Amino acid sequence: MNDYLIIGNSAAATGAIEGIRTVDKKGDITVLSEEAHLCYSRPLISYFLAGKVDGGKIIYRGRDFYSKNKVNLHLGSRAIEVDPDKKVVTSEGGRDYPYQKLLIATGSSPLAPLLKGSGKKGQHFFYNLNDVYHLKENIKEGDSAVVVGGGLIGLKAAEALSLKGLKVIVVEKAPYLLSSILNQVSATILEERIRKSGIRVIVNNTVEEITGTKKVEGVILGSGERISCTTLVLAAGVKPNTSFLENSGIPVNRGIPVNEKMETQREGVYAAGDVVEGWDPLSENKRVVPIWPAAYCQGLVAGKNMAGHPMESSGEFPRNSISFFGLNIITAGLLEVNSGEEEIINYNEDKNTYYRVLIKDNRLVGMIKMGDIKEAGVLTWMIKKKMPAGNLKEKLKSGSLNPVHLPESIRSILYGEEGVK
Amino acid sequence: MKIELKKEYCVGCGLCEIYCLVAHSSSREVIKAFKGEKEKAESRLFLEIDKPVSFPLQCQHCDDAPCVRGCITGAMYKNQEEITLLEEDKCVSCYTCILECPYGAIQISKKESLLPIKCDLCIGSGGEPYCVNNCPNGALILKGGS
Repeated sequence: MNDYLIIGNSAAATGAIEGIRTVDKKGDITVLSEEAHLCYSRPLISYFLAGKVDGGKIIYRGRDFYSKNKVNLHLGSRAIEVDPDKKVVTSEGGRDYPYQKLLIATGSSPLAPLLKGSGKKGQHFFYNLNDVYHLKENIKEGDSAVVVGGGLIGLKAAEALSLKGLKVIVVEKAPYLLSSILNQVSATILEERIRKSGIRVIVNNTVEEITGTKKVEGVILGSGERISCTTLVLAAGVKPNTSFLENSGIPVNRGIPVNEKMETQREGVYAAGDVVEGWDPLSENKRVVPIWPAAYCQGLVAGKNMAGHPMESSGEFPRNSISFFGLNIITAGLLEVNSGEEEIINYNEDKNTYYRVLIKDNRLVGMIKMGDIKEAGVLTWMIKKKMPAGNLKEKLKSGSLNPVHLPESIRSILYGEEGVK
Repeated sequence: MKIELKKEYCVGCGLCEIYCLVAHSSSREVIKAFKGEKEKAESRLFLEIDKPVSFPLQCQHCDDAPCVRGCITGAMYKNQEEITLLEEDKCVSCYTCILECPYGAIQISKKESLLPIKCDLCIGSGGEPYCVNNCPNGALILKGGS
């Protein structure tokens, strides 16, 4: 009998292991990992492809992490069924793993868009380490690559392929890049940087067909344009990995709904990370927030609760720090301007910096910082804690806000006991 | 362990920044640190002044450090004394720590490495933090040390 069983082996699983071990030093922890790798940093796969990090550096914790934390790690072991009544998880190959407390941390997978001519050699996802190994074996300098999707994953893939000396073309359905985290003006600044670095960007368009016999030879776009390429990278969104829960009785919406303790609607079954639909305090809805820091924090909360130490998550909202060809971008919170919301913008074309915050009901609810990301975390904190921003508008307009500028009423909270809770 | 700020005593003189730089120089001597070293060191705290308020932005070595929890590489970590430190070799300068730090206490190095830099409580410089020892007004106090 495992005291703790964890399905998945990425950020949420690591958070859970560390959470459990702060409370319970002895209980048996077993981890089932579909991938045959120690926990590695998913966001680093583009750095790995570009050759900026090696196979050792991509490992998230030290190689001795599992032995130090007394974890039974089962690599290459995929869960196919969960029975919460019998408290057993079955893996591919038919092995049963009984448990006391279960954490589902199976993450997400890339969506496979329906494309005519799909299934050819040269077609890749860019989502896990094996994807990168496959890509590395199949590309060479001077090749042409088309990337479907101008989101975070697609653009990081495009950047890495470009740094490897490939001719890269990005095709994005939306009118501009990174449309889930940027507005049009900031996306245009990014697009210019990406174009200058030698990548062709095509927006408002889709890949309709992959041409070639057995191997990818090119694509046909919705506009009718034909582009020849030998590599195609599909980065058109992700979906939570929940199919193995079909007969489990554990409810699944877009992800697995959880409460503030990261517990599902079945007692003793917890979930964390990209697979979860958790509380977003900004949209005041349950939603999937597939980002690394959220996964780790949710895992930590789940782990502590699994081990009997009550802890509640205050929720997670979208936030990202990312750079393309040296252009640093930090975003957090809501993006849309609806009625009743106010935008403050500071755009310096000479310095190539863009800054925009969104205020709703006198509170900061969203930010974009580009080029100059200094002190961005102060805004993240203001957003998270729903601090009043009304009197700070002049400061916010200047493009810089740090604790020195805050009124004492807010600063005393920041530096007090509850500051980073 | 962290450095607590008595901001009512801070006059914004900037000696904390100067001595922080000295602490992270190779000579640890003020003249050499500013004039005589091949690569000038950098301060790891950042004095901010918005009159009449002034104080340095400085890592608070939070118990529940958001920078450690959010770090995508595992480079930002807690040592056994719960001091928040960066394993520079592991860092890829993604700046998720800057996204997460509510104090604005992590900034980008002006050196070629572009690493995030922050207060390390002078862990490599021996003894008490230089900013605490050299603040003429006693505005910076080391708390929680043994």
